[in-house]
Amino acid sequence: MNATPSCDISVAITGSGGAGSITAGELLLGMAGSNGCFGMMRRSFGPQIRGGEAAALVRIRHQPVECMNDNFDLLLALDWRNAERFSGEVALRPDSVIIADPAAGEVPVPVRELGVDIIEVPMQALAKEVEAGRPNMVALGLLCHWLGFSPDEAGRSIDHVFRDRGEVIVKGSLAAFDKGFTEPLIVEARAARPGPVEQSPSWSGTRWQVNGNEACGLGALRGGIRFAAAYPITPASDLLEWLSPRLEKLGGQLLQAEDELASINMVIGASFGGVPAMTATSGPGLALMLEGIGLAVASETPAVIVNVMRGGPSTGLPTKSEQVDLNMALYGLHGDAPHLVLGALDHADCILTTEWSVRLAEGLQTAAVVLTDQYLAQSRVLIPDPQYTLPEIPVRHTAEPAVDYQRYADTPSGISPMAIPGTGLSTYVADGLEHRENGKPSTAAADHALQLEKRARKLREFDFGEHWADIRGNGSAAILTWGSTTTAVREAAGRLQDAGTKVKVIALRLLLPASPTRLAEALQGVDRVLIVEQSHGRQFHYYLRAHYDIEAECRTHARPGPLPITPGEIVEQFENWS
Amino acid sequence: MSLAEKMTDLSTFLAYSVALEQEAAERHDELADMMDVHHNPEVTETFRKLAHYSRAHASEIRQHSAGHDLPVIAPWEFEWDGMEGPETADIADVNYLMSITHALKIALGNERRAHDFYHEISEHSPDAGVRALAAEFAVEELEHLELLEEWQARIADSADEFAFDPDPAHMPE
Amino acid sequence: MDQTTATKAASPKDYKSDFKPIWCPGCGDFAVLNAITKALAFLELPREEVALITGIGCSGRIAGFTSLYGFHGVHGRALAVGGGLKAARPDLTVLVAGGDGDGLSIGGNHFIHACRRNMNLTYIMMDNEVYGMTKGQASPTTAADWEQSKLTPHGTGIRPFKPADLALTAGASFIARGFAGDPNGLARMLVEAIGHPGFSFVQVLSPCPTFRPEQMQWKTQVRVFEETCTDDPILAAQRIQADDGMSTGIIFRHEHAVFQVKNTVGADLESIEQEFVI
Repeated sequence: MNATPSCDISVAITGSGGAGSITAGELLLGMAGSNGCFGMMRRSFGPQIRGGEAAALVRIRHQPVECMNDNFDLLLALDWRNAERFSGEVALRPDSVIIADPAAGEVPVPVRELGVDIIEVPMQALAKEVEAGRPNMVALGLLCHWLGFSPDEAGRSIDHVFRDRGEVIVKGSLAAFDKGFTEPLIVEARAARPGPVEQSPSWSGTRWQVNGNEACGLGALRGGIRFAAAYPITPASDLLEWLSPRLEKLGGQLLQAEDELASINMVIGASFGGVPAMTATSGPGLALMLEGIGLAVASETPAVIVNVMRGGPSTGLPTKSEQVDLNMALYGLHGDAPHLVLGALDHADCILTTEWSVRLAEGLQTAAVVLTDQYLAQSRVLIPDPQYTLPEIPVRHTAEPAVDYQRYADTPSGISPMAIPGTGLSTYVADGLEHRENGKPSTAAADHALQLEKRARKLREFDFGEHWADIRGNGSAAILTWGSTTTAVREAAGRLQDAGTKVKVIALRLLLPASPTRLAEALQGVDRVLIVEQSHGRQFHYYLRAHYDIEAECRTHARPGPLPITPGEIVEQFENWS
Repeated sequence: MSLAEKMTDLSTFLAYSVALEQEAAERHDELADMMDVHHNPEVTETFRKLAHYSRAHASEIRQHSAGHDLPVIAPWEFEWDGMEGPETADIADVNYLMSITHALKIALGNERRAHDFYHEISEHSPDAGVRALAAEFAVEELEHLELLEEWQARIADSADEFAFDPDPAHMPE
Repeated sequence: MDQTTATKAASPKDYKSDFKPIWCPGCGDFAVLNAITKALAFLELPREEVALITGIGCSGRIAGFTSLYGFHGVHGRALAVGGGLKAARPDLTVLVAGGDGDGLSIGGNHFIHACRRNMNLTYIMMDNEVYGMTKGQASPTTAADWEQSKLTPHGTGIRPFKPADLALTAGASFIARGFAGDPNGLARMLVEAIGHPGFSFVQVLSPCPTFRPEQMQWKTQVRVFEETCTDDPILAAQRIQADDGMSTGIIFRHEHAVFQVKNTVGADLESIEQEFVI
């Protein structure tokens, strides 16, 4: 356990039928922000578009955090309708606390049987005591008191959220908040329990509030993307919605395409025209784009494809997270088509990885698939101002006007100068057909061999530098992972460290090309490796077996979604393993 | 009013004549290229020769035009009888298996039509200068016709049908 | 340039590459190449400012026979590549070309959306009512009773699309039909199409001598539309429906909002990053 357990609290707010649990959760995260804390908020829903059951899951800490804890300290249930949907995600401990409204019905038997403390607060009744008061705002007040927050910023936050609904609602919401914040029942209950937040957070630097999709969008803009073409798909649509107005403001544009097939081909067209271009999608959309991605590889046209993974296969679990598009990203292209695959490791890393991917795709004139997942994409975090440096990568090597220009000329690096339309003399026809150095189609053995080797070499010989992985800690035991599970793995490693087991965390950011030499170096002195991934089919495990020689003893902890991998279950893997 | 009757000034007539020969030359080149790619060297040569004659005639006409300001006429603005100039072979009237005989038949047709075009103008243009020059050009076309007829007579093969290719079509993509 | 030539300064040859077309002699696509290069010469467009985007099929090879910037993409997606290029580079003249299969079967969705989107593009569809490159299968414009394909030995039994009809319904703002037997007339149509602000669709009846030898008779069946171009979609629809598909001319031309990107540089990256700061 952390030295100051009171500084790490996980709260779940559930409710249905327009109760506004999500709004309350978002406001709670905002209050945590204005109270100097770090935190994370996830959301979980029923299938209804509105009025369904919804849960806001919030973790608040004084120290930076990017994953959810194993279980929840507090569940505030606005009502109990369909609440069993969340029983898997909202694990409670015997010493957890439930705040419930007696007017919202009987606490369900399974919940009562957990034996946790139930504090009954008549939130609906309290809400009715003020004009336009709503129970979720009462709940927000209760929670803010429970967490020891100053209410100062509440007014501003509430005004910001409800401004469009008019003065009456804003006033009523604030009044309801105050009711909850000062409610004697909650004041007493809190005072009677150990562990509420005592100290103030001490972080002095800048903090950000961001979600993974926005972070990817920012990374793309930093990398130079000024054109996007895309088709909406859960959970990538928010990335596109964030990107669209901001691309416009920077002189670029987002084109809403008629389908994913158009999206990837429009990206290729814009990139051929000299403008760095990207799209964003999820598993089903990436599957449609594979032929187009192959065209980018064969024609050596830079293209960036952000794929926000969701539960699969097929339509699968659109609003849940899994790390199950790895196989498709790595091996989905027909032919021998070397390309880039990268995976973001945490929310801030979404910025770095996407920016890096754009620069690599441009410099190496190839396609880059950037993998994130719904867990990162749609959870909001309070994090330290993300700072990073990337290695220098050459920008797109453009060609000068030249008679007898050879678009696909072989070079030592494998990268050929690329003429941009408008450049005199150096006209050429880009082609998906195999070609000779001047671009003309060819089936000759020598031409195919040369071009295959060239396209492979430009990636193989490129020095990707230190960012191929994020490596922290040291020890004879290591945890090898990729993508969003990195966040839980890091926390697990911290707990193991506190308990006396030193663990090295190796999180792969660059998946293709593989880096066997570098991993071998990183695993020197390591005799036990735990592989962690969120995939029933163990896609990462097989990827490692295919591309790396790992001499240490290996175990794989692979579990499918929809429930996030927790630090606790990773720590458990080491329990009977020495 | 026919085109010949409308052909009142020398500059326009020269513009038509240059275009006639130029278009014919380019067409012959296009056909030669087609035959070259399809490995029919004899017909390739034939079309190249025909292109050469048309280009030579075009060159002559340009010399005649020295000092004249020729009007610029878009390719589709010419009032030819057909869709293209009279000496221009039909771009689709070819087959990769065709023989020189076929090619010469096409060429003869071209030259006849070209001759008729000039002849009409030499008869019906209201301008004396135009008539005179058109008559000259008509004579030249007759000379070409003679050459071609001689050529045709020298050719051994008289097959009317196209040769036979036993291989079926194949799929390059 | 020779002052005495009766055509404009740039020559069609300037727009051709030295790579000779591999089409079967007799193919209508030769005339399309001829017409495109004549049109570009007439417009005196610098060749590096023109891009020709194509798909898969015999017609798709046309980009390689020009000396323009070109992209020979995958089957059916040329309009998407061309759309992305035009959106990112509005300064270029973008031509898209393909066949009836590439455009109306696998590419059908992009075709109707391109018509609707009304970007300033010119799309040339070389219609030979067959899939030539893959050895002669029925296409969406093949007559229902054509029995020469092994894939559909009884004919498809399905009525073919009328490309001009589809284009009109989908919202194309310029619709023309040309014939490979009239390259000069086609060149004129292309000049008009390229000059038209918006999506120009030019269907070209382009015979396939190898798989549809009967199409060599088209030159006796094609005629020019009696009526002149209209900007009334209802009239255009009636003319198209009443026609047997063999009449040529510019059928419909209407100017309406061209797809424009609304972007102005109104912010910088720093101000965007500031949005995240607590």
